[in-house]
Amino acid sequence: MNAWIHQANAAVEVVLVWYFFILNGGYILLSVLAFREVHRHLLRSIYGGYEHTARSPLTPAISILVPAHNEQVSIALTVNNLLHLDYMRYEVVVINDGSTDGTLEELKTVFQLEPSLERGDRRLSSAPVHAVYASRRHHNLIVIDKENGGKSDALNAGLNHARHPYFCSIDADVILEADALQRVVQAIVETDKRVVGVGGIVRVANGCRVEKGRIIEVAMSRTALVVFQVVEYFRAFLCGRTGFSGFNGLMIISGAFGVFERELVIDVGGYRTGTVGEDMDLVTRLHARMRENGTSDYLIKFLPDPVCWTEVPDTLRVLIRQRRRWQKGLLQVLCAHSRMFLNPRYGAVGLIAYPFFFIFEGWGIVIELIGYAFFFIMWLRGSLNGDFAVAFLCVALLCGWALSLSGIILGEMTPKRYPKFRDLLIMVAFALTENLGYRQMTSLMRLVGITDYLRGTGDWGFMERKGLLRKQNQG
Amino acid sequence: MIEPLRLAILAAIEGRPSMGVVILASIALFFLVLAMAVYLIFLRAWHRLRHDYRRSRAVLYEPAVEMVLMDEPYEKIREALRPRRRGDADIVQEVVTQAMRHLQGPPFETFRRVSLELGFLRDNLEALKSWDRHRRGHAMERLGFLRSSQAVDPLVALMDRESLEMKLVAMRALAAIGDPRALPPLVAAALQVPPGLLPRLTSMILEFGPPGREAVLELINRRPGAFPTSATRDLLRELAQDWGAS
Amino acid sequence: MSDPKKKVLIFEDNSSIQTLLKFFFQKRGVEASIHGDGSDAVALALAFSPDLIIMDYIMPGKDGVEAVTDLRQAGFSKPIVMLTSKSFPADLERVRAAGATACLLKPFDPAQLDAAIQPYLFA
Repeated sequence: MNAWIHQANAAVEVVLVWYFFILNGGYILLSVLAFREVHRHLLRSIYGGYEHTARSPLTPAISILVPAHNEQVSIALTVNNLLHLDYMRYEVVVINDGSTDGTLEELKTVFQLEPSLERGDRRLSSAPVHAVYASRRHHNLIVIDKENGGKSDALNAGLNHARHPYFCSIDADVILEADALQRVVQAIVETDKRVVGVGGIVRVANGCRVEKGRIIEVAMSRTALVVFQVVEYFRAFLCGRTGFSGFNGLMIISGAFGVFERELVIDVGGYRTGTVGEDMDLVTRLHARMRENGTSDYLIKFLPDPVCWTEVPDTLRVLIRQRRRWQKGLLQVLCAHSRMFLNPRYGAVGLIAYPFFFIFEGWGIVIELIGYAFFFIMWLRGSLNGDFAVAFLCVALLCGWALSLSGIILGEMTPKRYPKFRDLLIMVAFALTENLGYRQMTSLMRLVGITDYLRGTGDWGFMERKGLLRKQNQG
Repeated sequence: MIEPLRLAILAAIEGRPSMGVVILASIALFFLVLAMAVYLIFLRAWHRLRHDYRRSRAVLYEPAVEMVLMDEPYEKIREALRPRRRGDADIVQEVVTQAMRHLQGPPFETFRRVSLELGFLRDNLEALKSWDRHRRGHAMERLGFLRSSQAVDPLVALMDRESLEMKLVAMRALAAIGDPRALPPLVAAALQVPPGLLPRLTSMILEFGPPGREAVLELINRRPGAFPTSATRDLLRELAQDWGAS
Repeated sequence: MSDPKKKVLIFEDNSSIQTLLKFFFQKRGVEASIHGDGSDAVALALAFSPDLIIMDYIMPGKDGVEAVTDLRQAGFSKPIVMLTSKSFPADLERVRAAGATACLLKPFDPAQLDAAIQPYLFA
């Protein structure tokens, strides 16, 4: 019996160590790649010429798609801000996804909507569209009123009516940077390869001073949960996504902000309904389409530049719902594209990104938690390899620190950093304590997400919006 | 203190290579994390100090902008912009280019004249040889504002050696200078450059006026399939012809 | 003859251009009030009652075209000069249709601005 336990002990040790080293080694490599990308991007930003691009007639126009469901409180301010971006040619397409509150009425009043001749093509199927409205005041605003069908469905309806070569899908509650479109288009226009999708950094709006729907002061929230998420977001976006983007292996562009080639997206069938991870699903399908067509001469990029600000969950309950949903969505997408696993036909996505996500982000949580459970059991039984455990935990901690600090350092190199030194110190402090509870907590949430997926349960979830914008409306 | 530690570590590793790896990794990571934390604090502090210092110096030269717009005597403006300290030249140029970015006509010419007389042309041509990409980039941009033909040859030479981002900066500067001598290398670059960049390059070439128009028409004819969409190509052709007409 | 000082209301969000315009009008002895946001255009125009308004085409809050439309609808009859970067003919048309008196291209050329406002401020 004892021999068996020793064997198991050794085996688990080996598996854990290997898992751990590959995971963190991978992240460290990504961080290094990310450093290079951020550096290159910084260079581009400094000599930007953004204004030139934004005002040139050769710059492609963009259709901004805003799916809205029960956003009566803040929709007017949001749309108004979208109509005043620093970009020359674009249109705003608001899709009222069967709201049961006064969203449509609010829009009609504020923007002087009148019915318009529907001119959308029906290439993508969606829930029935009741009517299409145009604004008397703003020549570039369209509102589509349709039956409820969910975000993907709304976006597909929007795609049917959009008329510019590129579209930008955003969440109705994000605050867009005024020059976000400029920066994104610069990435599209000044690259030698065909860019089919671009994403950017989503920053945490909690704690920032917002006036008239614009961020006028960047500041850190006082809520611990939020600060942990700030550190997480920096790490995930700046190390993770920037890194993956460096070798064209980016598999996800946040639904909060993403710009894509319209024709291509319609060609692959638009957004997939019935999945919670529609953003990642679209990007993966775009990769699949390009690769299956035999070309690797394209890019899906990530800009290490803040493009929008969003409110993150500040209570545990909402955070749990969010993480469960994300994990479920991830697994759904991974399952739908399982043919990519280690398939050289899909290039970097198939050989590196997909396996990485599959093993570490998707199912790796299980291994992680088995690891914790194992250590715990061994400790209880007193047969724990004391010093190994300690050393291992040390390395785990230090690795986590290194990665979080990389995220923060890269964050310091990008615009709109936290100006107060105190906020920087707070971030560092939280980065160092992240592994002492927060990370374990989110892993548990993700485990529940895995069971959700396996059992086919779990809800869509929607965040109660404290209403960053609502506060301003009343102020 | 090191000796007992070393012995303890060796004892722990005894017969367990994986332990050795783990300890090594720990030590390496520890120093890495320390270095990163220090770098972070240092980076922030350095940026802040540098920014504050440059702001305090820039404030000394900003009144010159007012003088230019108030049509003050030229000599007074020139003396107001003369760098008073080593290292101020860069700051003065920053103030000047910031103003020139939004101006044209007589005030632009005044700034340009002052810049040339204060020797900034020479400074920027020197800076083109710098190993620091930022210095080179700023120099290229400023040479564009200075509109001096002397910069054309060095910029063209630089174009060949630089990475894509810097190449574009150099091209923008050449387009701003507007010397037709720069057209052949620009067109040559445009003929080789991958399609995604063509609209940008052709609109830069159009800034050269009539000779640019000729070059763009030639470019469109020689690479018709390379322009991303036919709409772009037709638009450019139209623009080129419009400029010719006006 | 004591002419009351002429007044100009400026809507421009770029701080460098704000500075340039400030000095431009200071030199000509015109009182200038500068704002970075067009959302209160009508209220400000009523309060300040300028002889001329200068407005940027793209601004946060309320862009030039909207502000011009609002001003004209509110009964503001004085000249409105738009500052715009190289633009599409369609946009310039829309601006004129909304009621702008003149359009000026950026970068800012004092001589051109002089020529544009001369008939309205100093006739």
